[in-house]
Amino acid sequence: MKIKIHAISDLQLLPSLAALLCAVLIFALTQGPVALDWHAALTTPDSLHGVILWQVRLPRELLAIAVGATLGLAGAALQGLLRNPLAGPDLVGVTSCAALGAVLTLYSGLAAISWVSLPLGGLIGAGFAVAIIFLLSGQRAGVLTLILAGMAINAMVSSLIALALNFSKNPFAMSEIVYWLLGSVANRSYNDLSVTLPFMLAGWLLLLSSGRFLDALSLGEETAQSLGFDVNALRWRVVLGVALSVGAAVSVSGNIGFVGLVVPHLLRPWVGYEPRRLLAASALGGALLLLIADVVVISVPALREIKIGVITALIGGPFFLHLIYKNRNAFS
Amino acid sequence: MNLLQAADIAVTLDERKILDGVDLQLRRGECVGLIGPNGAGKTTLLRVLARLQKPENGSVTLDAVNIAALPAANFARRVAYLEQGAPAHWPLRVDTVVALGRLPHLSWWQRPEAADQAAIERALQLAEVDYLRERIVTTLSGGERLRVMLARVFAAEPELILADEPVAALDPYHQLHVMELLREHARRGGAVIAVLHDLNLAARFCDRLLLLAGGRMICAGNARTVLDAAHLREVYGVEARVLEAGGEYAVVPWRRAR
Amino acid sequence: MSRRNSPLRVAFVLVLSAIVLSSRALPLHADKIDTDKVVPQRIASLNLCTDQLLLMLVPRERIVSLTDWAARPESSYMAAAAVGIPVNYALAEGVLPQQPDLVIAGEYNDTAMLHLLRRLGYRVEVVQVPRDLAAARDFILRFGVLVGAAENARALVEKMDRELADLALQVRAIESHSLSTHKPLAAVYAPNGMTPGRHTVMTEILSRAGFRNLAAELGIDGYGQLALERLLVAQPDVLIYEATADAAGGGSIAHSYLQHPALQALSRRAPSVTLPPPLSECVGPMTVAAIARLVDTRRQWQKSSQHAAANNVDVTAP
Repeated sequence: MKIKIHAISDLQLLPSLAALLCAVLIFALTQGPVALDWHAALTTPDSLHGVILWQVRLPRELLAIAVGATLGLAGAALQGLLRNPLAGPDLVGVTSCAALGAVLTLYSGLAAISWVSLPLGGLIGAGFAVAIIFLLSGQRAGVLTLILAGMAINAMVSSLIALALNFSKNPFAMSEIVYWLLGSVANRSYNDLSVTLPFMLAGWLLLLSSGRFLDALSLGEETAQSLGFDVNALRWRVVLGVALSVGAAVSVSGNIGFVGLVVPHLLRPWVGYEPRRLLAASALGGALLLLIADVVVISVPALREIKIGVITALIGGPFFLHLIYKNRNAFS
Repeated sequence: MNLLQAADIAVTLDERKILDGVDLQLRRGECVGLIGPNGAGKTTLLRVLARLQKPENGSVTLDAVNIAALPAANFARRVAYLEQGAPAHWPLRVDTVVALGRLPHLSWWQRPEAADQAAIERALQLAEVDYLRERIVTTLSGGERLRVMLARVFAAEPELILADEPVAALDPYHQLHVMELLREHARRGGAVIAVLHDLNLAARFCDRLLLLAGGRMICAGNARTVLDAAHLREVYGVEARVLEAGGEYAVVPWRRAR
Repeated sequence: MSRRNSPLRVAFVLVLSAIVLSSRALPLHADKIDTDKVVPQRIASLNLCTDQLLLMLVPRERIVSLTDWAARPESSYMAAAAVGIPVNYALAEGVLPQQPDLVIAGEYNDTAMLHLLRRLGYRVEVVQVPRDLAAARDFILRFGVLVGAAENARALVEKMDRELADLALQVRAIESHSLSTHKPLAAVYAPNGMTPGRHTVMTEILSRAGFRNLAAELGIDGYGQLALERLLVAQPDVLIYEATADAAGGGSIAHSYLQHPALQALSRRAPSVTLPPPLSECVGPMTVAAIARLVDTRRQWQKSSQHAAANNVDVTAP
């Protein structure tokens, strides 16, 4: 495989991504079924158009940004930890397990008891999946082991989600499997954001502070240990960071696939393949990708709103196949 | 005073005794070869010295301080470990890889400073990989990559280098090159312990050889004492031809003894 | 042809025979209701709407099984009456144990299962459930004949007609008191942001109660999704939640649509009413009950809007 590096410095890359993110955010806010009266919306937030801008559109897009950043960041961190470019949080089953955790708390009525129980359910599910993947892949994270384990977990967990929804007394529960398996940020409000953002921020902090460790890991675990890193403790820090952020994100957005796989892979050449630099870049890139996907969701007219995971899968699926095609010799 | 001292080291893995009562001393300026047949416990001993493996019994001291009591970063600044096969999992640039050697000197919030940059430059020069600095590490030949990894070790500016089979799978030219670089590190006042399979490289470049077999230290000393016919027959199970010319000592394993 | 190709030939024959066999399958949709048959004594229903109509028309001892929805208060208007009657889950295995002499199915039941029941010698009647009140009148009368309760059916239809006429009078009375000719706009919001538009019974319910249906005016046909911001911008006069009052047995994402702060702010301004699904799931006497409920809402809206108008007059008076 030919390696292309177009590395540019963080001082160029990160502000460019952030600026692009802001531009797309502003564009996203202009999109919607209603033509917005901008003057009214900006001057009087309590007016009808103000409510649409600040209460309906903004929280939804902010959630898309937070969830996208989480998925991108978690993807970069997992790939760094397992030293494997295919270790997206969705492929290895982390997001679906988080969805299962959220489903169990939501439909059992636990979510009504306290606002923390929904993200908590998500992060327990996610943590469980990362731990399993981690134990299965062991010291040498073989690509095949990882992908097959992820496949098994995903298949099992999808059925468990369906099962949990089957047992729910709520008549709408079963039709929501689509939401949990494909994800959506439609009609989310600040409530959802404020419930989950603390967990996501905590997870981001753990992941972003593991950058040096992931750099060191690129020389192998023994060498990382010899460079003064407590490999065991730091591995669990990454696992906890992924569980916290992905668990919370998925508990309000459902299982949105491929972001965590595609984004780090696209950005890797731009950061010279350095795992540490990839973290922040992937967070911004993930936010950008999910925001763009949501713009597509909003602007495509359909009788029922398209699920955002459909868009990311349609982008990510072919990309994933391309990745497999390019690496096919390495897998056999 | 000894830089490194290990006493009565014992390690048991999966109910098998890997090391049993091993003692070892190392002074500054010494380049020591750790030799022995497969399964003798060489790598395990090196891992104990590098703090990658907790010994079940015995202690290792660095300048008379037990290494288990040293902070991880402090130890990592003083003792560098060159992993067998020297893996690199991402297609990183050579200078990026060498810069990783500075990690023990940086806390997670610190950015590399001029001093770090200078150390990296020196390491690139010492390992003679300056001309490779913009290449991608995964595209290098085995010999080039090993020198890059050695530069990474030099960048940490350690006193002691622990190298696990640094010359395995290299061509003769690169074997000699890597051994020269390791010996030079010792000559500059550092110390080196290298696990070696090539007895002649060990004899030629090491000040002292440690012969390990069955988890025990069989003998230690210069090439003439360690690599004599009796040891080669008992420990390795080979009959060897000994060549002595102009003060140099070389052995050629000739046929199996049993 | 060599022997190597024989599996291919066998496969070909199998596929061909499958096509031939399937084309011989029994025709379904015997929609003509046969009146010559004797009065059925052991009736099974595979559809929630026919479940409820059976309970209204036929003595309980002649009903042998109903769907599992019939006895659930969150989906059935006749839940209390259905308690204790065996449940068939709309499955062949659920139907067989009671040996019914008449099986009533809706148009969306599993056709394979209906074929199976017919092959086993059961009398299966597939009926088309009505979607508006005019069709419902007709349907109830024909259904009465089918199940041997023509008399009860006629009485039920007459009762519906009387009540509808009375409700129409009430609405006319309310509207005649109105100061303006403005017909209030109602927005119906169901979990998942779904809303019933044109050609749904909800539009008829609303119009008979003196409301306009926002979804129908936005051109939504059948059930569609209504973006929250379009609902907000339309500034409906009343908000109708088509949902169980409380999310029974744990929440769901679908219901969280109804808890969006912007929507709740709207329902603090505009009067809102919850219309449980049993009232709009099927068309019949429950539809009349739904209209009656919304006529009350219409009356309240009239009072509050006139009150507000009067207050406005006071404010502007010197």
